[in-house]
Amino acid sequence: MTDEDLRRCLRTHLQALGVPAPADAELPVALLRAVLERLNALDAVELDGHEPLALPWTQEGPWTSSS
Amino acid sequence: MDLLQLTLSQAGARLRRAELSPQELVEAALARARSVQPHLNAFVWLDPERARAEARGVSARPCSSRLWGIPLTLKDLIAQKDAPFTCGSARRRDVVADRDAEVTRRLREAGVVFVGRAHLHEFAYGVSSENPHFGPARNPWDPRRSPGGSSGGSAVAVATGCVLASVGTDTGGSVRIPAALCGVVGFKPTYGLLSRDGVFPLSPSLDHVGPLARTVEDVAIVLEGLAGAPGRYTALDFGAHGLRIGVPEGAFWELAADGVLERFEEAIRLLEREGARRVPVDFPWEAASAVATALLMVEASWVHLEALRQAPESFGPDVRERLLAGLALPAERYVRALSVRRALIRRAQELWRTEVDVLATPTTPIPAPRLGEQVTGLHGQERDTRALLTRFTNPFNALGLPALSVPCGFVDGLPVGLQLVGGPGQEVVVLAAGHAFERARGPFPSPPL
Repeated sequence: MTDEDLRRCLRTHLQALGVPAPADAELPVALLRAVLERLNALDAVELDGHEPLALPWTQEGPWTSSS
Repeated sequence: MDLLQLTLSQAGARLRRAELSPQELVEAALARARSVQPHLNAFVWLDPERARAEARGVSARPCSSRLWGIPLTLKDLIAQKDAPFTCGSARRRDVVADRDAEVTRRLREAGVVFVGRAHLHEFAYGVSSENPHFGPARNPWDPRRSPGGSSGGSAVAVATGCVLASVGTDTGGSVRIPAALCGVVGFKPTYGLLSRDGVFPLSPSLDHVGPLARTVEDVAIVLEGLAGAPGRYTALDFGAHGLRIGVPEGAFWELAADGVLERFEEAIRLLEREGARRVPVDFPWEAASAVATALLMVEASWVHLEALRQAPESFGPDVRERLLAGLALPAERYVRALSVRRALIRRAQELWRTEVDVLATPTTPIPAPRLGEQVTGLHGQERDTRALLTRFTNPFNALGLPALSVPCGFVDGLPVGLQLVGGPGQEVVVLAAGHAFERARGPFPSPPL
């Protein structure tokens, strides 16, 4: 993505969330790029399909042993 | 009296024998704080009369615990009734807590004497403790350098003998990093062990409360008070014989300054001489670190969303920048991070169940950076200083595992730490390993004052 893509992405998100956007020069474009690059490491882990998010009653709890 | 000549354990014993009173101890703490504060800025608020009143109140009660009469400071992110609750933010400069956090209540019940409010990075969202609203906290080994953060004031106050212990919070390393950079002990227990009720959140999926003190035993005593579990964490004399120490392999861990790696190797050899066994370990640490980054950035922006809408200019530039960037991270990255976290936790449980008792790493890849240092040169490359400092600590926030930092030597006159990490709920194993290392290492010096 180009800097302009990232700038546009930031502006769109801030506007959608009702957050006043700073001037172009103050948009954290370099930081967003660095973070996205760091997050590429997530893709190195193989996952078994799309596991649902755990819900409290699907997790083992103190009640499990007595049920 | 000099608090640097006494450990918390020793002071507690003298208090219980009535050889020392809470008032004498708090006077020593305040005298040191008066001399340290103008130079190192360990506190965002210091009210000697309030501390004296606390000490009088405590001495009127019977001695009920190992923390009775002990001067301690809380990071100003943890509510303390009728005391400022700024979280290091200009917007909250006039906020006073109307109740104690649960951990504060437990310490108060145990007879702790609260001294001031410890300095921190704004809203705990950073690891330098360079706070634009309250000024920077400074490293006691070199005031031109950062003490680390975000619990920077806690580490400075402990290292300089303003208090015998402190309690901070750790979302990506915020207890362990300042402990390492200031030459004290810091501990983050298993995720969820300590209550976060009354603690201002940064990233609820990663936030931990944890103690700092000058010795492992002292940290364990405070942990018992925080957990309301007397006697559970202080039987530590197991030694290191037969201990399986996992040492990570791979490039991720090699990204550390040469001096740091040398101190780390010396520490492992010392534990081996005590009978521990080194076990090479392979694990996707970089992915665990990425999980922490994704959760932190999205959740912190969510925590502060309303304030960002109303007054974005009230945040310091570095924190505002991170909060804005967090709002633009794709939802897919966050959801994937949650899935990867679950997969890695399963792998970590297996690793600790079958191969190792503790994992060892350096706490930080570099010693304390200079104040204002955004980029650090390492092996011919320029690296983001903040990302570098959390690199070895934030995987264990993602995994929720108990992790301890113990001073293990000096690089260019600055202290560095050995990090020891245990399996879930294995606080005693980690603390006992740290205690064994500490005894083999011998006394660690205090900074020049």
